[in-house]
Amino acid sequence: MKLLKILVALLLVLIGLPILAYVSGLVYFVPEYQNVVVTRFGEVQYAVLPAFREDRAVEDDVQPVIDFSFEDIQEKYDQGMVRRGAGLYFKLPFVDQAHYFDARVLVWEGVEHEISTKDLRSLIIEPNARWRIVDPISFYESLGDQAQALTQLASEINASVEDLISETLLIEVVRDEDLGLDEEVEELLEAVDEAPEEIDEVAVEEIRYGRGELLHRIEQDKAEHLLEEYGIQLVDVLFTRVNYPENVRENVFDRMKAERNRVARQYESEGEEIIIEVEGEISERKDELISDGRRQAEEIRGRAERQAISIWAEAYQRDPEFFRFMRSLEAYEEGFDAGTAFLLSDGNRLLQLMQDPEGATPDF
Amino acid sequence: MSDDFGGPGFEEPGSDLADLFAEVGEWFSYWPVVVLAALLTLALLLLPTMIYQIDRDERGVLLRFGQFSRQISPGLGWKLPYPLERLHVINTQRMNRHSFGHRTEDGVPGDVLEAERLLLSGDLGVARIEWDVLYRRTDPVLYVFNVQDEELLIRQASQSALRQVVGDYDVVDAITAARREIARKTRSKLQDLLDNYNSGITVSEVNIQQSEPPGPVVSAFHRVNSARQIREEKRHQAEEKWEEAIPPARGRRQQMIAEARGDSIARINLASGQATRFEEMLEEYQLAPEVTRERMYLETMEAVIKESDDVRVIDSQIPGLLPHLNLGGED
Repeated sequence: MKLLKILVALLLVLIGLPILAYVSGLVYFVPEYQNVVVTRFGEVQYAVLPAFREDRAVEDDVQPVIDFSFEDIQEKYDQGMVRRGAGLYFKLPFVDQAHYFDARVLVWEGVEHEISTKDLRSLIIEPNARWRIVDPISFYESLGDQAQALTQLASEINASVEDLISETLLIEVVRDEDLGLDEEVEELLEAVDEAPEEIDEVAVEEIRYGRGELLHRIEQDKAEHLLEEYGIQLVDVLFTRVNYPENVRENVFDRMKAERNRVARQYESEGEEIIIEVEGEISERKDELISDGRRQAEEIRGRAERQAISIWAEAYQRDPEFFRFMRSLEAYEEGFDAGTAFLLSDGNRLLQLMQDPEGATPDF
Repeated sequence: MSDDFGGPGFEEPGSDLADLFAEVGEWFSYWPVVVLAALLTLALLLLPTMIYQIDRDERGVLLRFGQFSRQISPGLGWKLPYPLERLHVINTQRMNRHSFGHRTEDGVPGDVLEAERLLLSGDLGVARIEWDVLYRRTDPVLYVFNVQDEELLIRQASQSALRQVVGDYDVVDAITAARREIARKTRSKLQDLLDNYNSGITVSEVNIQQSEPPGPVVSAFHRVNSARQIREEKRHQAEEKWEEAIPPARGRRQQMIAEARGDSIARINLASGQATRFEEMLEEYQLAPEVTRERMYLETMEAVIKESDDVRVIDSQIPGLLPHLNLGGED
């Protein structure tokens, strides 16, 4: 019986004491995804950051959670205010308190609000941001919890967004990298105008940057302040939504309609253009073909005529007198027909023999 | 047992309080049983946190005292009870889908979110795009350490990325030719953002489901499409006209050339025929010019006169006859 009691007492101590240690707060765990700030009577003693893990061997190749190149954290570490690495830690029970803060990437969601750009055009913008608590001591002292932080972020980032957009042209908010401006865009800009007479024309050279750079500037605007004051790293700021306000949207739709109709009309008249143009081309090509045919035919005939003339000339040249005689005879034969009346004088050489049968040789 | 806490000697009959003490004392003497029972209960309560099962498409991230211990492959296993060891199970294989511009519930398109699907284009117009993002949690360790609100993270980053990309395209391009390009650029931009958060999430695809002009402008876009079709029809008609008119003209040209060639051959043949005939005749004529000439003349005259229906011979001795002849008239 005694033995049993001793065994049970031992078991009680072995299991009960650790539980007691955990429950009383003598022992606490810092997980990889949380920061801990330990306070004594409300005063910060030190912080534990899980990201200092460079001296730990891990079987998986794990990237450090946070880039700890921030100066003031290094400073606090040097002062002994920061303990490194996730794991098991001791503190005074009841006296020391551990406050846990998320070490993961946190999200801030803005609400839509209307902002005027530098060229006085209204936009509805819904910003959002990602942030993390990188200096939990500052964070604990200045804000205390995430709800406070979100309120603070909202006011800081909204102010930045508003400030920077009011210094930015509409086209710079909309475009990202391609900053070329053509006529069509200028026309559309007019549609977005609310007070056109006050606005100078937007010149291409005035466009400095696109949305990527604008967002970067908004981040830069508050990053240092947020880190120093609140221990918050602003990871990035983005726009969930960028739209026209309802009343401007109607104008833009009208403008788009007009523009599309113009393009439609252009296509329609281009159809006519094509028909007329091709008709002209057909007539041109036809004339070209026919006249070319005629020219070639004439040339061919000319060459043949020339050859024929030379053949004839060469032959007849040998006895022009005989040619003339022969050709004349041919002409008589061809030239007279049945209807031709002949009045032959008895002096005619054909008939000479009639009067002079002696057969005087006719004289040609 | 009774040796330790009160024995029979302690009992004082009649004293209720003493009875109670005695009873409590008796119970107290059984404390090891109580403790064992309590420990057993605790063990039973903690047992579920000591057994784990990781499915084939999952990975486990095990933290011991909060510190990363190891990644756990699928299978059954034991671990220390909570809170000594904590296991985060992440599905690394499943393709997760988020829809933008409309809600998708179990793959069935749901409500339309008008504000979400209207985007500003580079020509300051408005396009209406609905898209899906598909992703996997490929690195469970990074995922557990860095991602707090996955849904919001993906939704914000996806919308921001697509809007930024569309800002560089005209409305017309954005809803037609550049769709795939926009999807590709958005995917890479979104991946860059998620990498920057060390999220351990890999975007597999950004699919543009629907892209069209905003409602009030649709009819104008349709008009452009039909006008373009009509233009293409006209172009087609013009080509037809060309095909109808040009080949015959080409044929006519070839015909004229061929006729000219034929005529030429005929002409040259005639010429050389006549030349040869003349030369042949000349050859013989030169042998007896006088006779041949006389013969030819007479033969010709004979033939000519024979042809005629009206041949009269006039005696040169009869004067004044000529005026009396009814020349050219009917008898």
